[in-house]
Amino acid sequence: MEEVDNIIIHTLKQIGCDLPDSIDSLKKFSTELVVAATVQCLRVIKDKFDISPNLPPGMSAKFRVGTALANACLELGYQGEIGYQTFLYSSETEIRRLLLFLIEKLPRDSAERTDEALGTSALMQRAIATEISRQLKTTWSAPYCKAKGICWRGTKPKLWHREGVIGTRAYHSCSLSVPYGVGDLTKKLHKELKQYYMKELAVITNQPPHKADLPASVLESNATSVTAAQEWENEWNSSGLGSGLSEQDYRLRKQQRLKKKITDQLRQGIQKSEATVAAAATTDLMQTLNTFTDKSASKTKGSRFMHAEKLQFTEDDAKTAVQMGIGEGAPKLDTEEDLQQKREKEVECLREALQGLTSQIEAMEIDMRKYTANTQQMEELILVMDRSVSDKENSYKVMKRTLDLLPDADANIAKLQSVVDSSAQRLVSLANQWEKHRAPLIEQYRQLKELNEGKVSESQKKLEEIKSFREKMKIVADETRSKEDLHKQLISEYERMTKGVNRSAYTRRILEIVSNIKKQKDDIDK
Amino acid sequence: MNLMLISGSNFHFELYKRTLITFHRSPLGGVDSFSSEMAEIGQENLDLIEKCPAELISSFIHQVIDGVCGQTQPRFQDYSKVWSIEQWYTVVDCTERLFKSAVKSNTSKQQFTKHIEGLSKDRQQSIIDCYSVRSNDIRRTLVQNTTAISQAQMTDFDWKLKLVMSSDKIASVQEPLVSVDLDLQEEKGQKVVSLEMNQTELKKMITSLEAANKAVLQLKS
Repeated sequence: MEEVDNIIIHTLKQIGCDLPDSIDSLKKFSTELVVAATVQCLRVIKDKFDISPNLPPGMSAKFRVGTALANACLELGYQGEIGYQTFLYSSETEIRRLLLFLIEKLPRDSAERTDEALGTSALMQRAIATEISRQLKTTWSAPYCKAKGICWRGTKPKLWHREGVIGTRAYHSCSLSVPYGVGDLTKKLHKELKQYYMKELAVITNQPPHKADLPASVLESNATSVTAAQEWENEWNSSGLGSGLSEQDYRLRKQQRLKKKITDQLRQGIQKSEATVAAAATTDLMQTLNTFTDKSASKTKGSRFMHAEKLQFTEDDAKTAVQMGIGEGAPKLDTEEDLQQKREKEVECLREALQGLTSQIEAMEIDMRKYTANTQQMEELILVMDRSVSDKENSYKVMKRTLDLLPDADANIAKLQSVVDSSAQRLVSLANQWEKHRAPLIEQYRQLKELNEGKVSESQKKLEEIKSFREKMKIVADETRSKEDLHKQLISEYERMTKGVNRSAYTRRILEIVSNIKKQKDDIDK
Repeated sequence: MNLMLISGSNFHFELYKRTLITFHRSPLGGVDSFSSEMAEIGQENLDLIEKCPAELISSFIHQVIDGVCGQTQPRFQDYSKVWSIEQWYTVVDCTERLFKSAVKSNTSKQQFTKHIEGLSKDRQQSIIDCYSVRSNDIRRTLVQNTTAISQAQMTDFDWKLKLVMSSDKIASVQEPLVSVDLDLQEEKGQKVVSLEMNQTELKKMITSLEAANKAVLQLKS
């Protein structure tokens, strides 16, 4: 029965009775404790039960309290003798029965009311409230007593919080350099590189200009390398594997493609802004662009562009020369006018001659075209005529032969028949031979075709398999990670949970109840 | 983090050309710019470098290069016995310019040695070693600085998650807010843009950033 006592005491503690730890069986319950326990149970069962759990000193008061409690228990339906004497002059068995009855009557929620509202927001609210109240209760300490504004309080565990912004620093990262390629022991580094790594390369903590920037720099370098690796994986999985090149070839190709794109964009920019800026700067820039790209690939473009520029420059030069020419003095103008007139006349004559010649040339070209068309037509006619002639010759020959053969008609007919038969047989035999040849060739052809298709689909299948494997790998990795997290969580929860009451007490009680019920059933059946 | 948009607008292009013109002070050719740089550095500065004892010179050069790459710069106190404070400024500046122009024009080791023949053999050797080891780092930093030429570029960002418990008018608000600080490097200088967003606005911002990322990936492919 000690296990039952344990259960009873445990439940009473759960609903809020202050039982000292020394009590572990109902024998040690004093009357006050019995009354307090009963009052607490009744309070939990009925909401408006307001009898104080402390037993008043006077005898009559005690008597009143005892009868009130007994009445309350009778109201709840307690089968058995109960009266003020059970509380004031208690015996262990009666108390045990009473408390068991009351505990059974406890609403089922009371056991669960302790872990109410486990939602995350409620938890967080409670955590916030506790933290704020704890911080409010701490005593004030001067700023120079706290290192960087961090203030440690409490005994076990020692908790800290930050007061003010004195120790904070803005997020500012700088580049860190780490030895690269050292992990692979088979590859040897250059002697100078090794020297640099061993002697000169500062430790990461000394690299940023401010020591406080170190965590920011580490986070930044880690994030960039992780995102770069992820992006590369995505790109490789999506387009790299499909292209069928090795990794280095793919990277080279991508680099060339990007360089070409950048130079094209810059060239377009140059052309747009050419009008506003002096030409010298653009030639500079063009030369830089030529050094970027492969000379073989862009030579034609570059030279075309330079050619266009050169033409522009010559035009400019010509313009400047003409402007200089017009700016000269007045006396030379007359002679220039005469000269100009003469020149104009010459130009006109020459133009007329030119026009005449061009018109002649055009007329001759038209004639030429006509003649060539005519010759083509004639050739076609000739062809047609030839064909008809040959047809007519053939028909003439046939008719002539039949005329020759007519006098000796029967024999000739028989001969002709035999000739026709033999030729038919020859045809049939040839056809058979051809069939014999054809069949194996067709078989071969079909086989080769199937092999070819098989290879293509095999490679495709393998690519798909690789992709599916990679996805599975990712999924499995994620699962293992989540399972590990869950494992850690559950371990911490398990350690947190109280290993108070042992199971065997509960199980024994349950078995006793079961046996009781069996006995009762047997009694009923009797 | 770099957010760069390649645009063909005139304005950006002007900036880019201006900086390129300052990089190349004379018409281009690979060796010419480097030798012109060397001519500017002059013989006195090589003598200054000569003053440094041989065992300290490689660490000095590596620290100067660290300064170029954005890490801790060399401290005068470590080298106070070798140079006076004015000499210190000139020597650091010249070494920086020397290495930057060498990396820009992709000089090979032999060309580099030809240009620093004024120094003693072991110093030449240590300079060449430093150059060959660090040239990739310097090139990467210079490329990063070039790509940072833009109207505004974000150098860092920081976020905080806050839970508003109550306000002066409402006892229990319980609203989660996120505050994002963006450090921008503009032409005029540095600027900090702070945003405070609730959940819907944060989701909008994340979708627009993802769209920008997709556009960049499409440009790359």
